[in-house]
Amino acid sequence: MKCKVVLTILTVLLLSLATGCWNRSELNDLAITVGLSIDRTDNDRYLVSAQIVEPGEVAEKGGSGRSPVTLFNETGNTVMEAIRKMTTNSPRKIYMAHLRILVIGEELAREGIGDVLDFMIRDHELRTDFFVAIAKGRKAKEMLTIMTPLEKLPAVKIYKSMTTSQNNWAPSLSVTLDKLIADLANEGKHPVLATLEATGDEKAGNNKSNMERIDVPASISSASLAVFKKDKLVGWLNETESKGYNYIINKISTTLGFMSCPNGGKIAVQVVRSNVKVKARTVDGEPIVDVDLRVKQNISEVLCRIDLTKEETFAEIDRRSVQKLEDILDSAIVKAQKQFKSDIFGFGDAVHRANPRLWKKLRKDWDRHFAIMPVHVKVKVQTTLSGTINNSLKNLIKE
Amino acid sequence: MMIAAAVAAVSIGIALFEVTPLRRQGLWKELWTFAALLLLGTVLGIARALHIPIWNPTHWITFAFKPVNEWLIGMIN
Amino acid sequence: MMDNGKISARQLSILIMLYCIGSAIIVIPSTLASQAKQDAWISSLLSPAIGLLVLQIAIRLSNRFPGMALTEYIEIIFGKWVGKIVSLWFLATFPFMIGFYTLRDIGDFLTMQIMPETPIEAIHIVLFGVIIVGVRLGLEPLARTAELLFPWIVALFAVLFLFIVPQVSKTNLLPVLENGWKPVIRASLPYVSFPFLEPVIFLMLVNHVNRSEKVGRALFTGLAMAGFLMFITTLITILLFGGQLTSLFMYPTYELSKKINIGNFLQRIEIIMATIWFVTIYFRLAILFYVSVVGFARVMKAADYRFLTLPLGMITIVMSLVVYRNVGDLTAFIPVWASFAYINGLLLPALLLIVAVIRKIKRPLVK
Repeated sequence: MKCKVVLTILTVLLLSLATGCWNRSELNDLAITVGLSIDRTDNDRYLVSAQIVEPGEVAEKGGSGRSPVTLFNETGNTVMEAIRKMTTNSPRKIYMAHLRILVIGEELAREGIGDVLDFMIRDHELRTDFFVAIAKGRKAKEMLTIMTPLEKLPAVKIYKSMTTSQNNWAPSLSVTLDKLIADLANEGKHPVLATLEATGDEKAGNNKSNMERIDVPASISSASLAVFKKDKLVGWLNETESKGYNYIINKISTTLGFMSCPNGGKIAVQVVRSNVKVKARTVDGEPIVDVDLRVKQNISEVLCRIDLTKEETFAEIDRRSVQKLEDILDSAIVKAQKQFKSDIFGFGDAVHRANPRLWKKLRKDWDRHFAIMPVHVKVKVQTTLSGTINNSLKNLIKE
Repeated sequence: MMIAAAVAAVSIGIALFEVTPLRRQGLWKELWTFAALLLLGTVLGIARALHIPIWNPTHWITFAFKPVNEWLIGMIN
Repeated sequence: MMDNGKISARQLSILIMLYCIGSAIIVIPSTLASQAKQDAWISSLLSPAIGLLVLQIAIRLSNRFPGMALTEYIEIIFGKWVGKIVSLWFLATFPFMIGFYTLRDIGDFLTMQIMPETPIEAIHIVLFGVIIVGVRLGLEPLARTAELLFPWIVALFAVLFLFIVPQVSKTNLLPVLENGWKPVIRASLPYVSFPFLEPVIFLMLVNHVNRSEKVGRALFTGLAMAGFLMFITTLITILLFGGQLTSLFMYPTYELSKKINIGNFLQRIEIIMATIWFVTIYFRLAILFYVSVVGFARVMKAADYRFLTLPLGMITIVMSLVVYRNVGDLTAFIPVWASFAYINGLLLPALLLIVAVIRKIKRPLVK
């Protein structure tokens, strides 16, 4: 009898422990943040903006015509302070586990992103699978204010387009947070981040009417790449150089390239496979790096008169591709060596792997050695298929 | 204050729970050990609740072993 | 009413394997990598090897007194009163004290990664309550539960490894042994002490095993399996993150499970992976506490051990909160503990064995 009473009391006590806890978060108390931007303000503080989902608008049953996301801004002495301050404006707690993109302003990037990143990786709510990008030309905050077609949440649109374009267009690169941190910690490689640029009228982009037209007046694109030395932004790679960079770090899935034909005009090829081997060797105590690139491509567009039924044509295309690719790779390497003096390719890592003793001597001022190190680029190209027609269309159109 | 009272209450609960069977079986030695340990636990719990610093075995071990540790590391290096 | 439960040799193996994985699995790759960088996987092979060697001493000792618990033959070897003191010292500084740190380990993990606003006291009290219930039930139910949960743990590990392997990069292992063997050895030493010097604790459970001649083999197998599993974990962590990043994380295995992403569908399941850790830590704590309580009861020749569980539990919970104030204290303490563990883990069994051999003491014919 006594047992039963004790057991009942215990059960009730334990049940009350099982229901709630200190860390409960109701779903409608959370502001799901999909995009975060950090800028410098004039008085040396951080301006943090969070792009937050309006759940009612994203639901299938359609909303009341409001924007699918809202933006909250705050300034603070540290990033976390600004985010917490947002709760004075936001009715919900900023919840960052679903973050898709972090945009950092150009000015802040030039000062150094190391401080900002510590919070990103230390906080337990943030994961490491979101992309980091630098805003070029405008404040990072503005990148989050532009409405976009096809995807209701602009931050998700940026994320998806970066993923897709990385697979389809050579100059694009998407970098997740943990990759960035690994590069920062690595002495043999400096990080490179994607850049976001906004085109079109800024005021128009802010408005829902941006998406009510077929021809969208304002949009975001990720074009060039941002080069860092340690955690400070030092410059940009243009389209060609970004291509070269991505080839060297073996991040090309498929892409398009073009070259000129023997008798005028252009021909475009689609790269389907790209494999690079970066190896370092030592000659007379100095490092040399060999970059071996193997590319497999198909003919994609023919804008000249050539005869694709002949074997020599393909050989000629191969030759020209090799030349073009070597130029592209060289341009990237030269820019990194001469202008930035920053080893963004990980050649230092290659030296480290090949000759650890030499690396121990050189690592202290590796960038100086990197800037004068000879790099041999060798490209092999194989052009195989030519699409669904077997010869140039122009050939059919008799002059 | 409240927490210290809660700790005391829990101790009393534990005592009530365990003492009666022990007394019934006449296990006096066990009863005294139980009482001593429970008292120790309660004292520690109340001290913790009132934020009184408690003896910390980590400190004792560190104190005793620091020289040994340094000698060992010296040997390995 | 002392515990007369019997466990099989296989259950003993499983218990020691879960015990060794317990605290170590979630932090070891990071502590190894901070010294050995990308060679941490080599350290993770060295340490169990050393641990297995030390285990031989313990097994030799146990085989001289088949079917007897450690505290019993300590009293035989050292005499009644000295033996009791030695036993009490062993129990207090090994199983009992390790329990404080282990409980604190899981409390820290939960409050740091998952529920930061929850007071750590609440987690400790609830968790240890379950442990107390388990220990009061006896060794046999604990062992049977371990046996039941064991395949699930192995399956979860397999899931973790299989889903991560596509993302690894071989070059993260290079260059191998770039700084020579010294950092590798330096890294492996604390890892030897924690947890591989601790199987001495299992000598307390020998009298429960139903076929005592199999004890040595069982302990060896369990330890080897635990070492192997930790080796694979460390290897995969280094392959994925590289030496530098691994040493940055506080809980590298948890970060590892965060990276599981199959077809953009099976992702964010790291908390399921954390259940591996909950289970292994539960058994680690349960064994530590069981050995402490039962050992203490034996030393004072009590009729039962159950009444000791609640007061000793209370002491454990409070002390686990006291033991260190912050992560900095813990990091400073680890190397010191590494040396301290040799006393109970190596010196004590060695001393017992030597004295027993010299004085030609074996198990008395009349038990």
